[in-house]
Amino acid sequence: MSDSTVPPIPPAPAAPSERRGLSVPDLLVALGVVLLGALLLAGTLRIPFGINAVVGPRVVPLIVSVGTLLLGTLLTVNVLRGGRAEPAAEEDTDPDAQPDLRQPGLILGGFLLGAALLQPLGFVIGTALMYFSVGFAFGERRAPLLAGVALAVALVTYVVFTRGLGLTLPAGLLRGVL
Amino acid sequence: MNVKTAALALSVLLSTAAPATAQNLNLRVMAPASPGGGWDQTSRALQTVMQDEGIAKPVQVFNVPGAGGTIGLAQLYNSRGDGNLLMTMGLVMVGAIQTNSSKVDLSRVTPIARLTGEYEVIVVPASSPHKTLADLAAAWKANPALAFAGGSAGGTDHMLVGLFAKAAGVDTRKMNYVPFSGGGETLAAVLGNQVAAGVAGYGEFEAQIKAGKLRALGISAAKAQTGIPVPTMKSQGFNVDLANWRGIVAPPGISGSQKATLVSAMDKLHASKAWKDTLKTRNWTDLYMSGSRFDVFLKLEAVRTREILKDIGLVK
Amino acid sequence: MIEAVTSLLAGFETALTPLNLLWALIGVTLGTLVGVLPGIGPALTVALLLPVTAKLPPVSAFIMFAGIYYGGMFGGSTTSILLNTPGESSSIITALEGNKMARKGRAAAALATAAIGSFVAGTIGTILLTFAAPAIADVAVMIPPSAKFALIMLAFVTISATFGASPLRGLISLFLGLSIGLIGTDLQSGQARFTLGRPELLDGIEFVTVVIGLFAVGETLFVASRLRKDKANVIKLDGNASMTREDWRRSWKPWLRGTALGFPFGAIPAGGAEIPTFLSYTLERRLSKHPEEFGKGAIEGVAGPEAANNASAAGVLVPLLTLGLPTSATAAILLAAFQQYGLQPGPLLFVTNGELVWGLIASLYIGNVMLLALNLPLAPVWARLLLIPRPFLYAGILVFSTVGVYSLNNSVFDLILLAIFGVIGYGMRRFDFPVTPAIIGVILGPVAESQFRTALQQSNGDPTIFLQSPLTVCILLTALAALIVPAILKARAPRRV
Repeated sequence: MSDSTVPPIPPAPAAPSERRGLSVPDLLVALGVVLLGALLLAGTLRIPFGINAVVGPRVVPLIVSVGTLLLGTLLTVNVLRGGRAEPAAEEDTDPDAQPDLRQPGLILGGFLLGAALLQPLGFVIGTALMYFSVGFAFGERRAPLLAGVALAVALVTYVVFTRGLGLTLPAGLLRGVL
Repeated sequence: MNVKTAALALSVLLSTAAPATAQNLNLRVMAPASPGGGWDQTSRALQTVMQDEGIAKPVQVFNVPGAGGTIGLAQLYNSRGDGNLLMTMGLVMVGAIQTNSSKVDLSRVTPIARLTGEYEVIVVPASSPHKTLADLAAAWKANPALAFAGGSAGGTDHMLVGLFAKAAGVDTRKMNYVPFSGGGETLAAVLGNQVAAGVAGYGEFEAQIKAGKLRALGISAAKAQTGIPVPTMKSQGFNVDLANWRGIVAPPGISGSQKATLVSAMDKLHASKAWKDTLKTRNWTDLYMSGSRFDVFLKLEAVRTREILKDIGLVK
Repeated sequence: MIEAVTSLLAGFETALTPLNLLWALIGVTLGTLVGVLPGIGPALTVALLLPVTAKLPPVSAFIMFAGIYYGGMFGGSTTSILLNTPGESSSIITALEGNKMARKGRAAAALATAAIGSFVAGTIGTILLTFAAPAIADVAVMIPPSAKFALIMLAFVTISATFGASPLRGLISLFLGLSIGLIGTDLQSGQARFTLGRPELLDGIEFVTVVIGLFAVGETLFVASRLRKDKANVIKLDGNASMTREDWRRSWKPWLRGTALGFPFGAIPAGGAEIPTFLSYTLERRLSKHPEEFGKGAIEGVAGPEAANNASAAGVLVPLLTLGLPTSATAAILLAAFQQYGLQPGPLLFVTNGELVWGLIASLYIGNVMLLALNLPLAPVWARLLLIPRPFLYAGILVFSTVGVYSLNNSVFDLILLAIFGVIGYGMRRFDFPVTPAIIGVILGPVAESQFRTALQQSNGDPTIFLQSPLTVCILLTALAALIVPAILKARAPRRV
């Protein structure tokens, strides 16, 4: 595939990105792609050959890792020349807002804590915790209301899945109660 | 609101309860695969018959899919001493333990019984020049690159091709095995004349064999099977005997009496008419074997599998 | 032909008994319900129901399964449009334009065009199944692996050129997806690749985890990082509850084109619903009179892929019933269902169990009508789901995703993967990488590799296998043209945007 010569279809708005000097985050991402390619390549060389085959298990990984390395290099060059990414415009986002990493951190923390507690304390507690952390991060400050809704949603989901579909979800604290 | 009605309808469906004549043995059966596969179907058939016949109640089936069943096996190993837990397994798991270099192998768990199985057949397209297994073997010897289609690498189909190669005097390292992700794709490759021959369980090819679109050259059973008009490989001079069997094991460290209870439950299951009917409608071959005979069989099968997989080049 | 008509009429007689109609209704309702949940699709539902239905007569059971099968497709598009959580690989494309429409307040119209398109495609597909099944099946098995490989290359080329601000970013995303797709045991050689010694990775990463992580979780994190504080807390609904005349005018051709793409792919072994939905999307994008709306909620981008998805669902039944050949996960489970009753689908099934087969086919027509009747009036009702205040809506989406992903393997490990893909999805939005090519790489990469290797294995290493079939050559040339022609056009007419 001869890649970067292909224009997007339909042609992208030809707005040349303003030269605002080197963007460090963009450079880190580009180097990250290069690193990914290198790691893939290292991993590829550790795949054993296995059975008699015309195309062995290493061929496609080799193509993918070399391709990733190449694309990463192209992106690095692009960034060094002053290219930078424009964050996506989602319907619910404010493009001019100063990005605040505390909110996604809160969601992620709540999610991982909920996942860790899923088996010991049960599905209902785990998912209610996840629900609460997202709601809170999105600016809902009526904590009792949010906690109530979180518990209700988790409970209904649990009952529908286990009773309705016969799936086994961890009961945890509710073992014997439900 | 349509959500509610659906949930309601389903819960009504699910509560089709069994007669309450059960003894106080309650069991949990782990199917170490996703719902719908062979191990899952075996587990659920066992659940139905055991509950209906009052051999055990309740019987609960749950799925622990992944890595040819070895994820379930590791979980079973960690449930040491649990006398109410069973796991469905089979030849595929014996192979997967080797190819995945699983940390837990079957010598660490308690064998209970072998239940059912299915024999493998070798088929060629109806238009193929090969009329018998000997024809195919001769052509294969002349050209080791003859393409054989079957399931994923290291599975039962692949093992059978390896055993056939050895019996036919073809170098197992040179054979051209084309793995597909499911019986359906193997069937398509043979029907589409894209390979010289195909291998799968008899059930997957049955309809096409009966319709005359495929020619079955040999079946991997030791003796001719009633109702299956295919000559055995052995009767044609190829000493191959392989069944894709399924069985039941329990966690390690259970007491002698716990093991005896489980084995006797399986014996009762096998003796029941409901189980015989199940085998019949599902077209499963009865390969029942329990207690110490199954212990020995499992050990021999592990040795044999390792040998075949080595010959094919999958295990060092 | 006449024979098929009389058989079909007899089939309607079987299917139209009140009891069987009830089973069909339970089936479509259940199917819609499980289609709505990510990760829990028709395949899993039928599998879980198998032991329960063992006591039903086969005709009733299959009529219900058929309802679940088609219902799952309808339900899958509903959540894709409303919540951007495609639970089936076939409804990923629906989420692209459908969710954008929903966020602009046009959810009801998007749901309606999806429902009507599904109905049209499902019905046309069923008609083809009724009258041409054996002939189609015979052709379908003749498609060689080389041609399937060529088709996927075509999909890769068009997709990475279509999405994203620049092809470079589209390709990086595609390669990220391809890398993820490589993880797990290599089916062809039995060797573990990139599993880092973890047994959980031996079967590869479920695409649902990747899709939900990149789409739903990634978006939740991104939106949370730059919340719009000034605007109202809920999405405003368009006053127009359903499709306008303009919507109809823009939808009917994509419906038909989607059907024409989807049906044959469903019938091909290892064809699936993904390639036709992807191709339908790029096709509609090129043919549309409003290409500027694509990526911002173009109705054609919902209508075409949805039709393709449902037509392929009908196509899947062709080889299943006539050859006993499952070409999708759900078809494999349906095959197991036949076997539970001691039935063997294949050339003889129509002869030995005519009543069952024709009853099943008749119930497909009935199921389609039921689904339309069920979904069309519900479209504005479902759309009101978006009136839930944002904190509660986004929290609900996350919980919903968690349930789906967790129940795949009952494993917390999958949830950790979900979080990782969520962070990657956030990063991709922040640094302007399109998400779709990555998903396409995850889904089609492994298929492309296996078709490529199978082709060469069958020819025993002869690379001219890719030039021997006229079909393969045609597709490869189309892919090449898709790569080169736009470049030439741009060179010749540099400033004619």
